[in-house]
Amino acid sequence: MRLSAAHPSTSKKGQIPAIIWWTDFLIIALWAQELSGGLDFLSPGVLICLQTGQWWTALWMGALWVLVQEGGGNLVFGVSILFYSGMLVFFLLSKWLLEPENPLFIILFSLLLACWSWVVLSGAISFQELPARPYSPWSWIARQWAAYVFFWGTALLIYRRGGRNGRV
Amino acid sequence: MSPRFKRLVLFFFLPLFLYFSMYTWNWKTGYLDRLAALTGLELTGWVLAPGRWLQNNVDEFWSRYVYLVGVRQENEDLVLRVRELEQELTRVSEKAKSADRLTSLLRFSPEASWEMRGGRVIGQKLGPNAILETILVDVGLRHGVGLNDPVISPKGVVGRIAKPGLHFSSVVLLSDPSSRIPVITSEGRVPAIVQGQGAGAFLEVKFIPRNDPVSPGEILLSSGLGGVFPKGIPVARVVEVTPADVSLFQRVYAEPLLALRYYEELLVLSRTDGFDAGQPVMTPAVTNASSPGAPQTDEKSPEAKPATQAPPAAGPSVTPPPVQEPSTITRHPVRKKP
Repeated sequence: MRLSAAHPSTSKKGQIPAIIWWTDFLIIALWAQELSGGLDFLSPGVLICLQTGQWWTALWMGALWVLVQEGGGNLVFGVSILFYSGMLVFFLLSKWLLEPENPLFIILFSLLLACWSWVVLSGAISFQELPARPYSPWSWIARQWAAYVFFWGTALLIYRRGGRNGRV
Repeated sequence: MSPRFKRLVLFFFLPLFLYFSMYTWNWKTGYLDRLAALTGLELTGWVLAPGRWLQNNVDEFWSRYVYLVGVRQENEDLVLRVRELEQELTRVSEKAKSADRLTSLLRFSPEASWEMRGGRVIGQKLGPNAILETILVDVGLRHGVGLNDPVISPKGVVGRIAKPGLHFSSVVLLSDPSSRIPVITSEGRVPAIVQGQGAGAFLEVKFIPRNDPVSPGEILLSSGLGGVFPKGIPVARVVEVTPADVSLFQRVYAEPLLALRYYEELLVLSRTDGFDAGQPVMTPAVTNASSPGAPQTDEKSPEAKPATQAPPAAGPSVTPPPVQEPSTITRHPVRKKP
């Protein structure tokens, strides 16, 4: 089974314009972050762009997501840059092992990303000598993993059906 | 230089160098933090605000026009309560007038003046980077709110502004471990520091000497010493006092007077006299609150350097010593609420 978001370059009638699609994605992801109590729901947007080979869209989206995450957070600026850089490197490395269109890739990469997110945040917390998070890492990683798999998978399916392949 | 080495430098060391340069530059200046507050925080606020507005209106409509169970009984209770309070007000206003007269006779410094603004809570944990116990309110720099401004509710202290954006601000709650507020006990007028221990945990009341009187049920009021909070605002209620065995200080725990996360409307206080309440809290110097040389907390930093302006007039028995925190954070076992 392939979940490729790749579309023919010509857009079909009735497809959602990219700017509207990504705006909707941002709104839903921010509400999901708020309601989930601090899980990350924005990264799947960048991952969809990487999967579909839209590098420039991934770049500006990554920059915007960095500002949003850093603006809403309490850490010194730079943690999100490190997280997204690591995500890019892991994505390029993982492409050698699995096809990005494969659902198994989404499941395994989500787990890797959830662990990476914990490592980066814990490092930043420790580096800035903030009080450690009170909950256990595994429950947080499990919740973040489930969030990534569900949100990424759903967004990709919707993008495949209603989205437009192209730069915003 | 081999092409392989060049590639290594280009793709690994150069980005790493650039990243750390940016990180340290921002750590010192805080420009990127401010940029993120003015863009990312604003964007998040504008996305969340309409939804919260809709939710509040639906709730209000439901409670005002549909769900009217017990309104009549509640109305009768409130009428009785208003009568009681009117009698109390008459009695207390006379005392207040005499206190004002005595204050002017004794030539106390005038109390600092504060401006109050209402704000709505529109968000809580805004993402993975929101490590501290924070909420998002819909007032910001455009409304005259500044860094470290106290945030209160009619019941007591909620927290302080940690990151002001243009129209929205992040408020760090009283329960966050980085929050410390100088207080005095309501009965014994004993000075202490209230420190948060995380969501759902009791607050720790530090530095109460072993022989000083403090008892469960006593209310802790802000002492106004740090210059951040005005004097006399209720902060917490003492729930547990354990006499010291070896330590010089008693082990005291308190609980906030309100459920911090379930408030919809809050009040932000701003000083109108231009007093600077200390170092920024969430800018790099304070985000690394416990790094050596950096100011520890909101309330402590102004104490470390004496305020240029006299604190608000204190009661006759309130002469607490300037309490200094140790330079490293001591972690105590977090006692969860039962």
